[in-house]
Amino acid sequence: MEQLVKKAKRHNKEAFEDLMQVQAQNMYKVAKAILRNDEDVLDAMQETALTCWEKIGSLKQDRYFKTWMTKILINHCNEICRQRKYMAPGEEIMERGAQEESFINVEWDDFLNCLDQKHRTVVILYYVQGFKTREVAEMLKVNESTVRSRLAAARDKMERAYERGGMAGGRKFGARA
Amino acid sequence: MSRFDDMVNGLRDEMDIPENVWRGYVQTLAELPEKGGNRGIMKNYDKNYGKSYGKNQKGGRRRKSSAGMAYLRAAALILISVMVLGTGVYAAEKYFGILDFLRESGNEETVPFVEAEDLIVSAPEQEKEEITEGMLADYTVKEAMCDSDSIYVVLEARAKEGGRYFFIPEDAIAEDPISDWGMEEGISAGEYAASRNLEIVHVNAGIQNMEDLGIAVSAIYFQSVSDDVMDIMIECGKNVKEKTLDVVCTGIVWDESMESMDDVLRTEIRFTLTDISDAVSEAYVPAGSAEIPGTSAVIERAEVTQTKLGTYLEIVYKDESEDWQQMPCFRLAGAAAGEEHQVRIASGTEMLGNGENLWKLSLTKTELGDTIELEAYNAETKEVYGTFELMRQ
Repeated sequence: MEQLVKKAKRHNKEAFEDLMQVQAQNMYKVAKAILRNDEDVLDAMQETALTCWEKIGSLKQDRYFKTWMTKILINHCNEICRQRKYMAPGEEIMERGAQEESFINVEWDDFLNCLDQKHRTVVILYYVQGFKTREVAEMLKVNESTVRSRLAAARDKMERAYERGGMAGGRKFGARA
Repeated sequence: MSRFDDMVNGLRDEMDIPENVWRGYVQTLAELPEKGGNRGIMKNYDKNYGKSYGKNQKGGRRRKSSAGMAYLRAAALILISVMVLGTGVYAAEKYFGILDFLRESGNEETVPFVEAEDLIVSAPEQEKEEITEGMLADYTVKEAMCDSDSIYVVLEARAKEGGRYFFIPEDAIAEDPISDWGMEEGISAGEYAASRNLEIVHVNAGIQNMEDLGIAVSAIYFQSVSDDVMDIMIECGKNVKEKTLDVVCTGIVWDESMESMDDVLRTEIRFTLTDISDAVSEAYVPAGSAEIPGTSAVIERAEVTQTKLGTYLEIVYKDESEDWQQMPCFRLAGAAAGEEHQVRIASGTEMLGNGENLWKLSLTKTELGDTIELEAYNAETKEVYGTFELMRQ
């Protein structure tokens, strides 16, 4: 990946395209955890790609590309949240369109329903993307202890939701359709 | 594995990006402005695109980097895997060593323990520095081992003040059963701590200078020794070839009362680890055609490094197309091919430059003959490109 970053920093469009396509799935998971709505997810991914293309020359250490890119993505997601006024204090409730319903797998469906946005985000960044709590804290501009407490709370909520036998959709965690 | 872990594993699975999102995103990438040019005109959300959500887009451009994605995914999985072992609590004077961890994690049949003993360094000379004031625990490197391309380090976290704390892994929560880190009583951490009037404290350790050592992935294992003593083993593969390694470990401690990342207590431990394994490397070259059908790749050579503990296989192939979608992965075929568990760590494609790429496999000890058979395959589509024979030079 660092080879691609090096080339992209030299304004090689093909390398940048390859680099960003490799990152697409990571980006989608993070943005989906924050925004839920696919139209807004795409918006955030596109803005992130454009910002990265404009700013990649300022990336000091090539190996931190993913961290740097994810910070940019989260900033764009937050901006979209502000514009759309998605989040009521506490927990947002988004109406998911039929398209997501038919695409999304059971784990994601349960995950999105079970947790609020702030808990979903830390779970995705820490458990799925593999960032350290310190990096997650920096990305979200919160204390590391806040990240840890959110992780613990998220885990707790998910376990409890499972034990209750289901969430809003009435399905159990982990049960595959 | 807990239900939470099941759930998280499901989230880690590769997923199909909805086609309308993918198309809009790819279109944006294809229409990037020149540097400094106008932007914002290429954003597009194809709402009317067919409702093919979840459809597997084989042959499309969903993920160009099958090998790369496989690598990233594998790395993420291993990096955050916090493994805990279910055995009895050790007496306070004894620690849980590398062989104990390997035995308890199911490697008794695949790791030659007698040979491993020769490589293990006990209580290496080490320099400790408490990075933060008020550190609650003493961290000590109890054992370390380097076997050519692998490193193992066991650290012990021991409370400075006895009888006050209950150590649990960094990622654990009060509801987790204490048997998760080797204690025998079937109650939760919170219940256990409350019953003994102990304060729960989270501990963890890791290698800090991973980049210097060429470490991409690592696994961490926990074993409780007593209420306030926890042994932690770090296992990782490495890419650097130097025989003498300067290793920097960090031990951390935190509890629920801490409000800021600045409050996390840290100790840094430095020590030198020498690779004293009897590594022997041999080169293999293709016996026949090395062109991989369906790709632009050509196998150039393989290097097999044998140690007493393991077998490390590096396959170098040329592929100037940079077509990540078709880029091959490799595994042993023929007589040497075994069960999946023989692969301890599989790396991903590493670009060496000039069109050369490297694929690396860390295997449990596997005897290879004068020839080896390699199977080239596509990690994403599972398509097998072909089998190739390589001869020892």
